[in-house]
Amino acid sequence: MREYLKTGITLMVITIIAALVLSVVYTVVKEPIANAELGAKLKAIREVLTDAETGELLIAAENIPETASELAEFEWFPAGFDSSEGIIYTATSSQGKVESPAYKFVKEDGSEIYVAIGIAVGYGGDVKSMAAFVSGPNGVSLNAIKVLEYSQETPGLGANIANAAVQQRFFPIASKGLDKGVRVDKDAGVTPSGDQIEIRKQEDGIVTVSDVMTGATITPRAVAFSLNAISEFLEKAGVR
Amino acid sequence: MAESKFKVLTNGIFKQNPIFIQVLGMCPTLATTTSAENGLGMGLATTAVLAMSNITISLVRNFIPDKIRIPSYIVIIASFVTMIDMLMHGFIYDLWKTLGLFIPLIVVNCIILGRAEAFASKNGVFRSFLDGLGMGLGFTASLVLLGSVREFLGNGSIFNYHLSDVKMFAMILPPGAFIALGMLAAFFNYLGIKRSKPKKAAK
Amino acid sequence: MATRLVFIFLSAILINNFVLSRFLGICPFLGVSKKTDTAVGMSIAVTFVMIMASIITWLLNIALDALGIPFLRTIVFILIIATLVQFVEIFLKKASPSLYDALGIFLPLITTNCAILGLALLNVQQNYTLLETIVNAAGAGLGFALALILFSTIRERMELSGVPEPFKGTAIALITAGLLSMAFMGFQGLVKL
Repeated sequence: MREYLKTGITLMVITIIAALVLSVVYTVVKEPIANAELGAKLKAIREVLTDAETGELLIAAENIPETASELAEFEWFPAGFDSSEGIIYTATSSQGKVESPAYKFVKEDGSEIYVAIGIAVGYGGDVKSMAAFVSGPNGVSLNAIKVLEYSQETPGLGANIANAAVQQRFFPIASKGLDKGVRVDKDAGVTPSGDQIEIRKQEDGIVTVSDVMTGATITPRAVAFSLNAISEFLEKAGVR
Repeated sequence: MAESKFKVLTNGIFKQNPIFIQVLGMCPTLATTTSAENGLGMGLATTAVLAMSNITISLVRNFIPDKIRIPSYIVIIASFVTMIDMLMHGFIYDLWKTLGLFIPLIVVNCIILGRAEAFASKNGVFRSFLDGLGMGLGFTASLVLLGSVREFLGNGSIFNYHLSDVKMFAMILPPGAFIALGMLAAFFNYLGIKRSKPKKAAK
Repeated sequence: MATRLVFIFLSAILINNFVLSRFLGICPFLGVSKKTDTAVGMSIAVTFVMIMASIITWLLNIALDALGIPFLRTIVFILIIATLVQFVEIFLKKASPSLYDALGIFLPLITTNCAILGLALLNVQQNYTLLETIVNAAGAGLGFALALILFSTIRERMELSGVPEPFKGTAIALITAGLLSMAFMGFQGLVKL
């Protein structure tokens, strides 16, 4: 009995020392971690606020937020929504959620840009995409997206959504295409090629990815769902 | 058993290469070698844990009762892994995100527990450090090799440096990992056989 | 809800097979697959540990988050797994000494089976409910069993065929695993959500 007690206590002592050392490291590293996460988010915002066609920033460079407090100034909470557990809106037409907070930027000419993070379930977990919707003369269109979270997707297949070339298939999409609902070409039952890829995307919201993401439909479908969720959210908020 | 310190270090790179000779640490090997860079990152993270855990276990080896040595080693290794995970999260975010789940899985990398049991529990601190370092370097070198092969065949590049336009997609996918590693293992076996043949003939 | 559970279950066994797609549990996969009997015994032990460990770690995770010490997750999880494996060892020694002997060193090595820790961490990462966790664990165990048993039957036959010298042992095993993995890739897109 004494032996069990001795071994039990020794193990407990080792575990306690380990826990203490880790707590120290944790308090030291907490801030760099928060900064790293924030940095990734700010980088994504900068990317989606870049005009998909001209490659220029949609708002003046000095107005792009670079700290958490600057970012907080752009938080947007439209009336009629309440954010619980970090989600501001849950889509009703299909699966997908919008993360809270959403952000609103204003261009020099006064038109608005809405940036939100959409979440949908992919193969192995949540796929999170940040998207920027710009209001213009033809309604609100999708400017650019950046897929932020895809770590549970199958490496080499769904995880190829990380490639910029694949993500670029998703934007820009005109308001007309958004109204029809963003769909992956496999789900729409068509396989556009050549010029048709761009045309079907703008007119019907059909995103062609089956040639660059062979064998993986669930991951790009999740991105489509999250874009539709944000689109629906903007509709309910009265800006689309 | 007075092996020179240099031998302790190089043991892990060639003679007892953890991947090709000991066949340990397979999971991260196959999963994180989709590119040379990822292999390098994973290898270095594992080496850091190996070195630190070997040092610590060697330091406390006389204080741990034999009965609970495995759970104790595991706690020590898990602590260092958590530390590396947190440090990477804060300071090398992109690599941390790419390696994802496999960083905490360094805990169950049989190489680390294996070396703790086979070497660090029976040797002095500096030698244990060298052993951990050597095994880690051998592991890293093998990861970089496999990662380069897969990246080159699957993406036409090595360390993101574009080299060829041949892209055999399957190499980056799971089957490619198994087959590439199998071919490399066969190649090293072949080298080993060739080396021992002249010796046999001489006898 | 039910479809989601079915999807998680099938995904763990076939579509995202823990061994052949996620690369978890390779060491026992290569080490214990030489004979089908040991493969079956190992699979049962692993599946049991997987389900028990998933439930316990899922519950403990709530406590860890509530106490604000998420960074202790890895240590706590692996200690739970190590303890469970100890219990399985003791139980097996009494209930089936022959299997205990057959598994040998690989029984305590279940602790270092990345599939179990990986499964526990994945359940938490993907915010699964308790029911989803159990289904995922059952699927993972069955997927591991499927891969391991299939592989062991192939390897048993390979023992009798003429494998070239450099390929003997690990090399041919890995190449075979690659072909098996390729076959399993055919399950992609099996279930449409």
